This record gives sequence, C-alpha cells and structure tokens, in this order.
Amino acid sequence: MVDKKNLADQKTGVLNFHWTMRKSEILSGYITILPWFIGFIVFTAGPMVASLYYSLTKWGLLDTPLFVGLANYAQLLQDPLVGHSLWITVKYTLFSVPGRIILALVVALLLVRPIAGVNTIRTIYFIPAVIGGVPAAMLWMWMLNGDYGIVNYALGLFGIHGPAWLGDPQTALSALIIMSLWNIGTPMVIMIAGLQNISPQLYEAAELDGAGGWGKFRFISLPMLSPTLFFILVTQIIGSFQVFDAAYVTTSGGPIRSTLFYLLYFYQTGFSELKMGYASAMIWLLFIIIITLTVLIFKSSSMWVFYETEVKK
Amino acid sequence: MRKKLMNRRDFLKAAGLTVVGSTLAACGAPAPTTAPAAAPTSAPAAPATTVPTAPPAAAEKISLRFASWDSSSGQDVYNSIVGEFNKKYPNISVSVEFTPDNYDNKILTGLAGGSAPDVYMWWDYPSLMAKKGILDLTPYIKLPGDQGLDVTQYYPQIIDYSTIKGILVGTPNAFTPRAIFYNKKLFSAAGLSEPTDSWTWDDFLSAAQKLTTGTGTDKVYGIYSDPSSYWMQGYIWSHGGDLISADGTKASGTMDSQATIEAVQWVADLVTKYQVSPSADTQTTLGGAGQMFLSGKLAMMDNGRWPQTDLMKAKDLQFGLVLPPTDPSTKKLVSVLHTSAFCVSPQTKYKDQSWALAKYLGGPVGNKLFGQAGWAVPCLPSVVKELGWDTDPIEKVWIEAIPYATVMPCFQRTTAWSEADTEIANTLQAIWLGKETVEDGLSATAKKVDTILAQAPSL
Repeated sequence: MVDKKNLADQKTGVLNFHWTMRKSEILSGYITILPWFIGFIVFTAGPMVASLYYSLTKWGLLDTPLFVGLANYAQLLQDPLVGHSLWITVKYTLFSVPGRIILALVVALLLVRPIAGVNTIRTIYFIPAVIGGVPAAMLWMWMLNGDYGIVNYALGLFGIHGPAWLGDPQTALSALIIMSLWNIGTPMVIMIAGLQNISPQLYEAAELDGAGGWGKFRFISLPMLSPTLFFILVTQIIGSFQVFDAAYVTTSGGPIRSTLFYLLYFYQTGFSELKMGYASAMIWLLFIIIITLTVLIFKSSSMWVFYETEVKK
Repeated sequence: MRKKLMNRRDFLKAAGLTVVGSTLAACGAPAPTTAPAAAPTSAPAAPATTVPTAPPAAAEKISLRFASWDSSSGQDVYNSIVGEFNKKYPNISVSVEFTPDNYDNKILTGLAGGSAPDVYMWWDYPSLMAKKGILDLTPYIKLPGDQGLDVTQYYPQIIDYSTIKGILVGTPNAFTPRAIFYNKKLFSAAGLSEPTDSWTWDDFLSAAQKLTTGTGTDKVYGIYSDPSSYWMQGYIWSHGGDLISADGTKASGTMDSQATIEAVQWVADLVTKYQVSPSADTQTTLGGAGQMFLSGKLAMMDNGRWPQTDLMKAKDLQFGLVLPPTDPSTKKLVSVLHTSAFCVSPQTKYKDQSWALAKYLGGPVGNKLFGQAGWAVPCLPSVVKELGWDTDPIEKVWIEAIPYATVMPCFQRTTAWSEADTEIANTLQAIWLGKETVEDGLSATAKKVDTILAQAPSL
C-alpha cells in the first residue's frame, strides 16, 4: 500500500521539504536576527578569530605576520611587566569595585524614598557617568595636583599635608581609585530600580515581626537585591579589568609605572611599539582571566543570590 | 480574512533582508588592500626603481596629501608654501592634514593599510626606515639643475641630522638648537649681572639659587629641569659621557660610565638637592617651561625656539637669550638640535611630484616662510642672512649655537630608540622623585637597554 504522505514527498521533488507555517516562522526568525548576526561575525567574532591567529605570530603591522606558534604566550609568562600590570589592575579592582558598589548602595538607599527633589539629586549623582572618562580625568588631574589642587587645599584646612597624588608613585593608584569612586551613577540607578521592585508587603510583614531598620535591610533589602547586585558585580569586575582612559590621560602608566594597567601596557605594546602579535597574546590572556573570574562568580551565585521565584528545596 | 496590510513579522523580515542586501552590496565594493607584503630587502630604504624625473609642468591634474603634526593654527603658513609650489606646478593640488595628536600612529597605520599621505613630516627616521616607511631621496638630490637639491646650501649639521647610513631621508624642516632664555627683570631684582656666552655650569647653578625665591603659589624657580633624555644629551655630551655607544649597539660602558652618571647627577640635583627647579608633577600642572617663563614663575629656561614668538608678544616680559653654559671640568659645550624632515612615502603613486613638493617645503621657500612666521630657525645660511637673524641680538644666539652640535643624537644610531627611551624615561622619573640614585638607576637601565638594542630590527 502506498503511503499517501510518502507519495506527496516524492511529488515535491528535489527539495523534499514541506513548507509549513512552523518552518516559515523559523525562517522569519533567522532573517530578523540576520543583521545582528552579520554584525556579530564581522565586528566581534571575526576579529576575535583573527586576533587569536595573530597571537601566534610575530607581526609589526607594516610587515607580513610570521608564524611563531606559542612563543608569544611563553614570553607573556616571563615578561615582568605583564605580572606587574596585572597586579596593578587587580589592586585597582579590589578597591574600586567593592568601594563603588557599597557607595552606590548607600546612595541608592537614601535616594529610593520619594523625598522632595529626589529626581534632581539622582540626576546630579548620575552626571559623572555622562561626562565620560577623559574630561573627568582632566578635571581630577587639576583637583589632585600636589601643590595647587583643591583636594590638598581642603586637606590643608584640617591640617593635613596632602601628598602629590598622581605625581607620587605611592599614591598615584590610590588617586585613580578615588577618581573611580566619584562615578557611581550607573550602579546607583540600577540599584534604585532594584529596590523599587521589592514588594512593600515584605517590609510590612517584617515590621509586624518586629524588624527595625537594620533588620529590614539585612533580611529583606539585601536578599531581594541580590540578583541586581550579582549583575552589577559581574559587569563592574569585567569593566574594572579593562580600565584604561584615566591612566592614559593623566599618568601614561607612571610615575615609574605605578599606574600601568594591563590594558594600558597592551596599548603601548601594540600601538606604540607595534608588537601586534605579542599584544594579541596579551589580550587573550586578559580574556581568559576575565572569563574565569566571571564563571567563578556565577558558580558562587547559588550561595548568595536569591531569586524571588525560587522555592526552598 | 487575511490582513492585506503588512503585519509585524513581515515588516521585520523585510527590514532584515534590506539590511542584509545593503551590507552585501557594500562588501562587494573593493576592500582596501591589507598590509603590503614587503619582503625585507638588503637596501635600508625602499629604493627608487624608476629613474626619477622632474614632473612635467603642464600635465594631468593630480592631488597630493601632506601630513603635518602641527596644529591647524599653522594653516596660513603652509598655505603660502603651497601657493608658491602651485606657481610652478598649477596642476598639482595639495591637501594639508594636521594631526597634533597621535601623529605617529596615523602615519604607521596609513602605511599598513596603504593609505599613507604622499609626503609627511618625521623625525625618528631609523625606526621608520626599518619599517620601509621612508623613500630614499638620494637619487632625487642628484637630479640636474634645479630639479635636484644642492645640499651644500644647508648648514652641514642639519644635513648630518637628516642623513642615516648615507641616505638623505627627507628635505630639512626648519629646526631649533637649544639656548637659555632668562628673565631680565628677575636677574636685576636678584642683583645678578646678565649671563654671557662664556658662563659655566657653576655660574648657572649659583644664579639659579639666587633666583629661586618664595614659597607655595608665590614660588619662583630658577631653572626648569625635566626628566626626559633628549635635551639632557647636550649636558651629558659636554661632560664627556653618552647614553648609548656611538654605533648604537649597546648602553653598558656609556650609560653607566662615570661621566654620564656625574652629568645626570648634576641635572637631577637641580630638582632634588638644590630645589631650584620644579618637580615633575608641578611642571605638568603649571603648563610646562614656556608657560611658567611667560607668567614669571621661571627665571631661566633651557629651551628651543618654539616659545619665543609667544614670549616676544608678551608685554612686560623682558627676556634675553644666551648659549647654554660650558662644563667647567671639561671646558666643553656640546649641544643638541631638534630637527625634522619632510619625507616621501615609498607607497606614493606620484614619486616625482612628491619630491617636488618636499623640495618646496624643505627648501629655501619653506624654510624662509617658517622662519618669517617665527616657528623655528631656517636651515639655510642664505635664508638666515636674508631674514637678518645673524645680526638680530636674540636670533643670532640660535645661529651661534649650531656649530656646537658635534655629536649625532642617540635616536639616529638605532632603530629601537623609542623603546630604549621609554626605559630611560622611567629611570629618570624615579631619580627625579628621589626614589632611585643616579648610579643604581643608570646601571640597571643600561642592562635593559642593552637587550633592547640587541633586538633592534636592522636597517
């Protein structure tokens, strides 16, 4: 007995393909994301593959790349400036990220209430994020000057003789960290949104149970905010490892390489010294480090991030 | 029953296809060529493969691109030079590109992508020559008549600075030696007589000590000593030392020699020991030597001609100019020049025409116009005389300083100087901050620079 369905398949011929509505929807989907996908291949995935290839070569930009295998990576492990710049970047991250998150949280808690003029105040706190890295860095360079800056003048009013900040290798990194603490606009706004999403009924229930301000914060706000904090932590760490603007504009990695961030060293190696192959290897090392950290944070999230929809097991 | 109007899905589909279609169309256009696969040749610079000729006066219209690291405030001067150029070559239009920031990157990436300008200013010739970025102009110089270039009309020191391994790398741009500006009012206020050409390092220091007065924001400094190696070369050479060997292959033996250490110590002491010079941090904040001198916060300044035009315009500022001091122990004065040249790209399609343009920029016409605009010192004695600089009380100091440039600067001797200089600058910064002694710093850096120089690409 001839199966009617099979006969129909044979009749459609070479394509052997049923144009169903399901398949039409799938095709629509692919076409819709095609522009993004092409952009991704051309501007992200393609260059990443190319950079991986170049990291295996010796290339001075003006000559043809010479394949050298893993020599660049071996050199990375021996280059004292790689370790040095990574350590500077890690130090910066260790102080800047928690500092910014805590500061943003404090400000967000204060500004989540509908007090008069709260929108204006939130905007003021957000302005540093809008100004951008380079003008902010120039501004701070003037404020932090050892002899003429306003920061040392203010310290002088309290009888403290301020250091040379960006001019002293022992305080330059601290100066850049302080600069980064000024810009808390983005995490603050995200946290305000996160706080506003917490159902007031939870707070009411806590009050009924006799919780005070600190109790409400510790048992309601923090846990309910943990997904937001998780997101901010991951993005801040990724961003902090790529810090570049401030050091490029103010210190060029000095004095005496005390602010030589990893990405700044990469820039100098690749674009000033034209060691493109070696610089590509540097960038892949950074990629591996950031990915590893991100995975670790994700894995740890099950211990401290609490999603509202979760059910206790 | 079916909707005739486009629903959302169809719209997105159509939009997607449009974007894809236009992207493919754009990609279909010829892509710019990637890095030229230049196999290293034995010649130091790309040799001219065709016999150079003078471009025909009346020919097809072509346009050349010329890159300068000056800011666009210099537009008028360049326009007048191009105007002169167009009188002879009306068919060649020249577009001047100003790139005050990241100039090196622009030229290098242009060469890598095949889109470099035809003529560009440059100063660190060996590193660019190693990358095949400079056209050997020697065949063009030898052209007959006024198509070639008579190099004897220039100061011989200028030609030396522009010649690497026997190759003329470009036509010389107006240059500057170094001299000491001094504030006459501050000198008389301190009861000092004005310096003379025969003054020594000791006179220089004692004057600076008497001229350094005040505290805090009122402080006036005697001298400006900054932790960069280029200007320091003059003082190091005067004392009999050097930063790297004469053949540019190593630093040990010269950088860590007693003479070099003593010279750098003397210059560093101005900041750390005698405090007659501002610290590096204050230098940055107060806007550098020119700015400090202009505002009366600096009594003496070792500098090139660049700030002079602004100083001359300042009311209430009376300044004098004198040669740098002589080293009392060696009785010598050796000085360094700041030069640059107009180089031709080896990738240009119009070599002959680019040479013609470079000749105008770096020849008598260009040098005279740069001198008149007060940018720098013209490279030709004839132009200097024409402008009266050899008799002017201030300008003649620059001319007198030229013969003291007897040592070829370090950047000329190796292709890896900028990398070596980064290490040197690092040590100098540490010394200026008092974090390192001169002896330790220079000895350690000498070893690092040895490695850098050993790995320098050959010409």
